[in-house]
Amino acid sequence: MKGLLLNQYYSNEKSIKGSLILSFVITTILLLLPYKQTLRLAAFLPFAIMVSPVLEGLKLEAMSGWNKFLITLPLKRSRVIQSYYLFFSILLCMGFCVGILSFMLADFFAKDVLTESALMSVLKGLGMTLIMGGVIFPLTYHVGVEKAEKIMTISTVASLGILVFSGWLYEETIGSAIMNHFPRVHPDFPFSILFLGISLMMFIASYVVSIRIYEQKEF
Amino acid sequence: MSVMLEIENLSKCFSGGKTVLRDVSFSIPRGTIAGFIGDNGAGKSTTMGVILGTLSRDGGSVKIFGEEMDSNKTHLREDIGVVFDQMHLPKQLNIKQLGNVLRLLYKNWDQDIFEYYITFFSLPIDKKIGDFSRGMSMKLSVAVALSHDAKLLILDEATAGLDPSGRHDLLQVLKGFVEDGQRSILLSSHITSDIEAIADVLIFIKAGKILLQVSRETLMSRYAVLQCTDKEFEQIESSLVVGYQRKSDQVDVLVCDLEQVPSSVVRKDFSIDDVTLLLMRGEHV
Repeated sequence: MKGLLLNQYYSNEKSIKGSLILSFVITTILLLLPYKQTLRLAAFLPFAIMVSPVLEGLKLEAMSGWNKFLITLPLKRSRVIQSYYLFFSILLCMGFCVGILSFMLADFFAKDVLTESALMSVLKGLGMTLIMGGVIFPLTYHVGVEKAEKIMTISTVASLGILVFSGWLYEETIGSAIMNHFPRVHPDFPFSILFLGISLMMFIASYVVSIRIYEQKEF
Repeated sequence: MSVMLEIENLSKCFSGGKTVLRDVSFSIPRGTIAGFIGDNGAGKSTTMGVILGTLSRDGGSVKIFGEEMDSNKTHLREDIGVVFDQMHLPKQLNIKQLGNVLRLLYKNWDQDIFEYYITFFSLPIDKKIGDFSRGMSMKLSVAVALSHDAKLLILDEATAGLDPSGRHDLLQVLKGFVEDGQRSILLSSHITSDIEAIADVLIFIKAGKILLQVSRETLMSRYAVLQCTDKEFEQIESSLVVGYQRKSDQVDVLVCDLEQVPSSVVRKDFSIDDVTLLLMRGEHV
């Protein structure tokens, strides 16, 4: 496992460093803009930018043939999948740290950036990125990296779609009841937590599906 | 002499129903180099893929060191060194980084041996692997295969793309690998002179079927390529005929026992290349 993670780090070293700087700068700029809409984007961007090297890494591995060589190593195939999901999760945590740092910095210059609403947006951004990862991995193993652009589009649409749909479902079903029971809680908090939970479950389910696909795959 | 690799009745169909391996069976004794010979598309790489588990099999068995090969038996893969027809190593890394990665993936990784082969093949440590020439890539792949105390090497066209001196160096390294009699190699190559130079056992495959497995010594001492007329050909016992090729006014025949053929039939001097051509282009009884 350590070897696989180290390989992923070496392979993506430059883009990880680039993503760290890029996500910090863009997020901070977006937060300093005097528009409310940019806050939502700023909450999602650090995650999306930080995990982008993973998909690029999958492409590079397939092109170099390393994914075939991996099968000949003394490793179970599930270990390979584990390493990808773990690497993705590490990058996601880095995205979270970058996001928080950007919010803190922006809050220092312009007050009222690091608010409860901002935290809710960050949770939703985290959930959306988890869904994207959950769609990208199994689809890439199933249809191949040649269709990476399509897979990226599908994963983005899926994460947005699930966010909007679950938001609508929440409002239509338990939303008002929860607000009546917990009137002092931020109105967006229960849904943000629920959405993060759903995303996490989808990510775990995607991990199981990816292992199944990868175990049947021929190289 | 114990067997390192034993393949029995291996069969494989690709999607679309195309059969690529038909009851492939052969074995490689300990301490030998087996040359795997066949045309493009004959099934060499597919056989190797099935042995290594990169491809699934539809039937048959693969035993390595007497144990049935299975995707979960990772300890068996610890003892197998692999070189594919192209380098399959991460191209963004340099050799130093690759060594760091592989050290964590193989229990028996020997960094000193790896560095020895890197120096032996004159490979640059800090250059990105993706910028290597084909020859350098193949040398690096061989260095990796030799650096984790493998007992069995599976080399698919490993000598392709090497210049003559590089090929010579590699063949010497491979000879040295089996010298202690405890290790074996399965080597496929289009360059039959390479196989002729180092192989002890020859395995010929055509259209997914094994035509012949024979030791090089037996092939050169007991087998013969005959040039005969149709009438002479009919008189040769069919059990002796391994393959034949009809030419305009004669038939070239590969027989498995020179002693049992009438001395009046003309015998040809032959090389492994001649036998390969006759088996690949000819017909079989």
